[in-house]
Parts: sequence; structure tokens; C-alpha cells
Amino acid sequence: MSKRKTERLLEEIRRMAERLGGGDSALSREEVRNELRETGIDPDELKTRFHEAAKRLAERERLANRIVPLSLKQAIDATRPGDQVPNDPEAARLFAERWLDKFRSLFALPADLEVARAYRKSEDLSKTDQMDLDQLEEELKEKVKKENERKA
Amino acid sequence: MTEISFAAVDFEEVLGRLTLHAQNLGAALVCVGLDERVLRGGESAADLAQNTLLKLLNPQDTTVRWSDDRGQPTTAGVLAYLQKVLDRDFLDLKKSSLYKTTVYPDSEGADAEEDEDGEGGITLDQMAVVFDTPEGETLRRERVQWILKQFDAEPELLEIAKLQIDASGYNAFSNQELAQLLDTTVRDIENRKKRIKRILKKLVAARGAEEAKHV
Repeated sequence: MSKRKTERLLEEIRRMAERLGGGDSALSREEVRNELRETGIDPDELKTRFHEAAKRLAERERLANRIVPLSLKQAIDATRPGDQVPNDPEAARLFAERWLDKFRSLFALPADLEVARAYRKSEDLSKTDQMDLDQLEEELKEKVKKENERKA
Repeated sequence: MTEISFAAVDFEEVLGRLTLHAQNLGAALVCVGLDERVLRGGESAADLAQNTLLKLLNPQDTTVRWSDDRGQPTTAGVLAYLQKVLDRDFLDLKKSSLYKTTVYPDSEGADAEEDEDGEGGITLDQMAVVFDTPEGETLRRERVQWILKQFDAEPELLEIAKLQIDASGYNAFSNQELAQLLDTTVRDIENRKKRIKRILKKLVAARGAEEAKHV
């Protein structure tokens, strides 16, 4: 009976996750990166960490005198840092294409983009926007302060 | 026998989307009334996503394999397959003893129970027993109210958040119907839903950090 109850609970969690994730599949590659940043995950760091873990896996296979599978080699190639181009020509082409995509997608503005003026002093901003701006201001001040301290 | 080529798969994109998927599962856990406490050795959403992808690539792990009958691997195909793997692993993991679930932390005495390690909380299996009881229902309602309270500062999100969190209301209105009801555009409704999701995920991250302090 306990197992059945656990299954029902898990099903509820799955359904809720589906509801929360509705629309994720429509996100562009760059939007996925932005979503990750919003929740405190640096997508580049994520990729680097995966790349290093995949390299360790390949190294372990080599040390055990086993053949490194093609899929693992391709994953390592595809997740190299931006300044390391893969050796395989096809992987290098895909790598370059994806790298260029990052720049293209940055300029893909929504079709119905609207611009509205809002002034802090006249309290046009919502509380959260106000808080976000305050936080950015604080971060900028902090950054400038550190930069000046470093130079001094 | 020739090896299957994954050249068409964008591994970075798979990893990013898998991480979002794991985050959604984590947020769902909180929305149904549970708080997870990742104990030593436990895994974050990013760890889970990475380990799922590595399982596919690890020749010594035979539990996750891309078989020939799935056809040529594509980014979408690999992602769909690994999301199922991650679902299974996530829920198995949460049942393991590496995770303790603080039941309804808003209720009195939730942290009172201590196990042999001196830690409060119960496992997911233990939690399931309480889940369907009237007490569980009441406490779950309290949790939903607590979540909705987080939207006090953004009233334009509140109505939609209610529908997203309440299972019975979720499919009641299409985005188009919502746009008409709230006198706005479909795009605006989509944007509000995105903002709700971000707030929920931040909430989960904040609760996770709060819980971690006690571990």
C-alpha cells in the first residue's frame, strides 16, 4: 500500500513539473542560457564542468586500455571552450556554427517589442523593477569601488 | 559494427535543457508541499543533468543506451530520452537516504522529529503515507497559500500563478482565453507565465539554501 501511495505522490510531482515546464521546449538556445542565468547557473561554467567530467571519463577508459567510444569523443569535442577548435573537421564546422549562432540570436528581438518610458522619481516603476534597479545600482557601485581600490 | 554518431547532437543544449527540467522537478517538489534537504553527497539540478548525460556516454554504464531502433540521434531525440531517464533518477534519488524531506515546514513541529543522525525530516516514502490524509491536504493548502503570498508584490501574476499551481485550474483556460479575460495579449500571458516560473525557481533555490544551513 505504501508503494502505491509513493507512486501517487511521485505522479503528482511529475504532473506539477510538467505544468511548470510548459513552454520550455519553445525556448531558443539563447533563452535557455538566460533561464539558467536567472536561476544562478552560469551556462558556460555548466558546459566547462561537463567537458572536464567527460574528459576524465575518456581518460579512465584510455588508462584501462579500452577504446573511447565515438559518442564520448564527440561530446568532448562539442563542449570545448571557445578558444579550442575541435580536431575533427565536421565537429569543427558544427562548433563554429553554434558559436556564431550565439551572436545571431542575441539580436533576435521579439516581433511585438514595445518601448515604454518609466521614471524612478515619478514612481512609474513596479516595486520589483525598482528593487532590481536598486540591486543593479548597488552591484555597479561595488564593482567600481573594487576597481578603484585595485588601481590605487 | 559501426558506432552510432552523435555529431548532430548539440550536447551543450541538451545539458542546459536537462538542467531546466531538473529544476522544474525541484520546483514541483516544493509546490506539492515538500522541501528537500540535500544531505552530504546529494546532487543539485545541474549535477543531476550532467550525470544523466554522462550515463549515456559512459561505456561502463549499460543502464542508459541509445539503441539502433531509435534512429539517428538528434538533439531533440536525445533530450526527450534523457528527460525520462532523469525523471526516474530524480525520483529514485529523492527516495534515497541522501535526501530528507522536511514535511510542511510551515507547520508547527515539522522539524521536531529526529532520526538516528540527529537530523529532522523524513524520506519521500514516509512522506507519501501522510500525503493523502486530511491533515496532509490542509497542510498542502497552506503551502499553496504561502507560495501565492510570494506574488503579493506582483498582482498581475497572482491569478495566473493560482491556475498554474492548482491542478484543477491548470487546463481550465487557454492562453488566448486568459488574454481575453485579463484584457491583454497572448504574448503578455506567455511572459507572465515565464516570470512566475522564474520566481518559483528562485524560491526553490532560496529554500534550498536555507535548508542547507541546517544540514
